[in-house]
Amino acid sequence: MQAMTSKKKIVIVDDDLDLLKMLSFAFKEEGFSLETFSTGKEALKALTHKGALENISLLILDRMLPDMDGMDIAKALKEKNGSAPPILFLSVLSSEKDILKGLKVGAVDYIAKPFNIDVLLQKAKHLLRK
Amino acid sequence: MDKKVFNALVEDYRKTIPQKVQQIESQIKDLKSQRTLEALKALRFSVHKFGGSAGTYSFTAISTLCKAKELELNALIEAFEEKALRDVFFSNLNDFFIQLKAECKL
Repeated sequence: MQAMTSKKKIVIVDDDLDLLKMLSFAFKEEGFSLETFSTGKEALKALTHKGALENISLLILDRMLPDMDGMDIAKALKEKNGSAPPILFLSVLSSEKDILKGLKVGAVDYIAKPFNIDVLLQKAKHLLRK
Repeated sequence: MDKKVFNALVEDYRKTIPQKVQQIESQIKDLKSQRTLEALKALRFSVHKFGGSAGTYSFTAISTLCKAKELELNALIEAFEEKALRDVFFSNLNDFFIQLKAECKL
């Protein structure tokens, strides 16, 4: 499994450093390369450069960032580039309405916080095999 | 995820819990003295973050408690009125904090 995923890059935007720590250990253990951002501004600055999205296999976005909603990052990337990498939202905001909103902006999945790390890993690996 | 790595991360997280509780306590004090929407939002943000991370690190009871309080705070924020921050609200908030400290074994 590790060999299959070794070159896949995952970008995570979440301001919760405790969660970033858990996610970093988990994804690195599975052989993914990882880049993390803790604010929406930082993420947009890095991801809106020409070609910045080309080698990203999965973008994991929190919703309640200190400076913006992760959904606005997804919208901005699509507006700027016409498309975005597969997006998975990871959020405490998890009503049916919230999930539907996330799927409408093009997310491939929407996982509620708190989450089980093994379930998240399996979902990510499943998405990246496609 | 490797069980040993997960357990080590949980232990690291456990050490950060007193700091998180202290931050919430300080924000409750700020809210009591200022009674502003900003102070209410700051408290909601900390409760929201604690609820999200604690559950992921297997502290389910803390997470459930924070998520329930977050919903209440969200409702207050959506229709904010300073007069809604009455004694009964602070009494409930105090109960929440006592329960939170108990769940955190502090």
